[in-house]
Amino acid sequence: MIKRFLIIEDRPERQKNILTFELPKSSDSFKNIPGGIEFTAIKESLENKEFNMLNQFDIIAIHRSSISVELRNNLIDYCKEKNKDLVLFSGGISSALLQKLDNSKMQMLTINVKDFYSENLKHFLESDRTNLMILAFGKRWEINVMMHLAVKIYNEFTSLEVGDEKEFQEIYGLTDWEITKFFSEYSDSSRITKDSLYNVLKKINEEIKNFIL
Amino acid sequence: MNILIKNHDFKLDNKDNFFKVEKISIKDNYESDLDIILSQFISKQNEVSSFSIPISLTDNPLDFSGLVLGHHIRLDKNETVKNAPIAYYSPIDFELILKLSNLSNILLTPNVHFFDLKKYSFEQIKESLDKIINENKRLNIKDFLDRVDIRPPSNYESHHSLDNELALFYWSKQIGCQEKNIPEVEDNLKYNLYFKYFLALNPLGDSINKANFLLKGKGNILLIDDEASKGWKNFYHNLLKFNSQNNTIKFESLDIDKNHNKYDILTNSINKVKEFDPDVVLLDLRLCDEDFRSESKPNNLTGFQILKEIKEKINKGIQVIITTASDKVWNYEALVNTGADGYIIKKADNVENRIKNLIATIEEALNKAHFLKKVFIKIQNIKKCIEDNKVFDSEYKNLQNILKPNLDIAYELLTKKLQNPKYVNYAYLQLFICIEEFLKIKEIFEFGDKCYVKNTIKVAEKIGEDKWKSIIKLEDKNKPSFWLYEENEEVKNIGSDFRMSCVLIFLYGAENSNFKNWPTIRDVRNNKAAHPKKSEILDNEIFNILEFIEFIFNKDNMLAVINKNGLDDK
Repeated sequence: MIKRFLIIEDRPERQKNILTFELPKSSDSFKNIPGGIEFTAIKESLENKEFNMLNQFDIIAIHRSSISVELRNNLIDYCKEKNKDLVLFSGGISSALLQKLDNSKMQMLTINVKDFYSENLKHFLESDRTNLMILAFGKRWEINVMMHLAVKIYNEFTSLEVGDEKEFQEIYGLTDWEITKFFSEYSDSSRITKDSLYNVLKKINEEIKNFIL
Repeated sequence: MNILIKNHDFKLDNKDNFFKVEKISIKDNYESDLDIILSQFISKQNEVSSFSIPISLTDNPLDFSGLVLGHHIRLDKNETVKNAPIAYYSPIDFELILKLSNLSNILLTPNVHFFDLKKYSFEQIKESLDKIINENKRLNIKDFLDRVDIRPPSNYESHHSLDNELALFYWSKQIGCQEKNIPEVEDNLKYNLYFKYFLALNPLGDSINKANFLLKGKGNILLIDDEASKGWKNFYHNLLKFNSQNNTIKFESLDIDKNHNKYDILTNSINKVKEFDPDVVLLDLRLCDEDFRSESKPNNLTGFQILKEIKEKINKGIQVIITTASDKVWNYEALVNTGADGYIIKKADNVENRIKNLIATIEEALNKAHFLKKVFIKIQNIKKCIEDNKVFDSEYKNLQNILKPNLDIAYELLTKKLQNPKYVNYAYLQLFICIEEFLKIKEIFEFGDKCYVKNTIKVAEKIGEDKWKSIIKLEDKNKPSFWLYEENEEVKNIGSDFRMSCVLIFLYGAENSNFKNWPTIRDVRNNKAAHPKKSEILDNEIFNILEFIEFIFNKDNMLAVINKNGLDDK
């Protein structure tokens, strides 16, 4: 099911200036609040610690400096509690950082305003909106997944001595996509050795290379 | 101390404590930008022999936050930190990393090493680092700066917003402004990677001798800039403080809220100009978000529209200097066409010369405004007199169309005064033509075998070849000569001087034609204005002729009933 996405922006002109495509019209699954009375109303509600109007959305994107630090912290707490993803965009952010906070399911993306309103947003809106990496890294998000997988596999690699082996199912946190792509020949009971992890690492690198080319 | 940044859970054999293992907490630091987190981490490192860093510090390797950290290390002020060898480690191939990010160029710079974790263990990295540290290579920062590819932050609506901020910092430093006055830029230079890089590429020069800051000229200067409160207001306060202290210059600034719409900014700016009556306006072109749209045409920019309003509706003599970080040619051409009087490009290079140029531009503008604002008001008054005086209508309907353009040409010539003084002579001649055209109006002076003022008073009658009976007599014992009212005189010709003198005596009730500086105006025209190679016209001579024209064109100064008799008209 498509995730419901809300954008809260206090600088509508800047939004217009940066966007190179038209945002979808308001619907059950998308809403853009570019300044105006609605923005003022939502800000007032946040100031009064009223978050009900956000309940209907799964992802909330807001211009970071449109609200005070205190309000931001309240908003983050609300998102953690309700497992909603939060995107903070701002002119003052130099690098896109995507992180899970405090072991909650909530993901938070901090991103430069220009990168936020880029083609990545278009791709994200056209997707089922479950993958914030599309918003952060655009079409290259799969490279990000593979690079991260390489780090995870390396961690496993260091945990094994030469000659040691462990069950495949002991490798924690692999996604279906990762298993299909790099572990297709393994079953849960398969044994994994340092050599086989090394080969997976090589395979990941090959796949990234193919992606880039 | 060999610092190893270990943000991931791999097993590390570090029994000999060769590495001091550190973790940089990115998580839960969501209020801080990555640049700030990394700068703050580095500032805590003092005794460093080497850094070992992963390509990324987070679970999202495409942010290349480890590469960002390496750049911050190299651009740090602490020499030990800055020169320390950097060992990057990753399970991703070196060639792939090079292709994935512009930041990976750091891997190609001196004293930076890459260890592919598929090939090297940390034991091997340790051995390599031992050797590298013993070689004790000093880093030439230029080699680093030449190789790396650090791009400006993408938040800047356009590249010139960045130039603007950098120029503000460099210019402020150059004139010795206090750091605390530009906190946002100071913070950027302290933390932001691109700003640090720019600072390394363009080290600050020595401050200019403050004695040079006493500007020649006086008047009111107004700054209209959306970045005024960020530091430009403070910059100009500092630049003009000696003039403010001796009351030669009054400086004010219009603070603009970028979130305001274009109409509000335009209205506030125009109201401020009317209220403050500036001689010089320092005007930025882009003043609201709308101005930063890529399709914004130059003439639609708020700054252009303010310029147009000032020039067309307030006072053309107010000198408008455009201050912009853009050096696009279209800007310059459009500005010149709209009447901008100067163009200051805000860039952070060649700062000393740029500030000297700024001072020279302001001085020239003050000088011009002092003269041109008054000229413009006079010309507007004259135009109003033309519109209000019926004598310019009736049978001479075209006269308005001759006189007004003449006055405009005279003004334009006067704006070129500093380029070449001969333009002032040409302007004077142009103004004198207005007087001559006025004297062609039959209701003023009717020329023929019998000459009349106001159609009724006969002032001359032809009595022979080059021989006229006249009602006025030339008094030429003193210089300048003038004409007196005296019946039954004889003159040789009926020239402009004769006509104007009759008009002054009869229509304006003057005792004689030595009235409102007319004899001087006439002589300046004949002896100075007509000979631009020999003589230059002075400012007061321009004002004399303008005042004279204003007086004679004003219907209220013309007598309703003439109180002197002319020649017998029987």
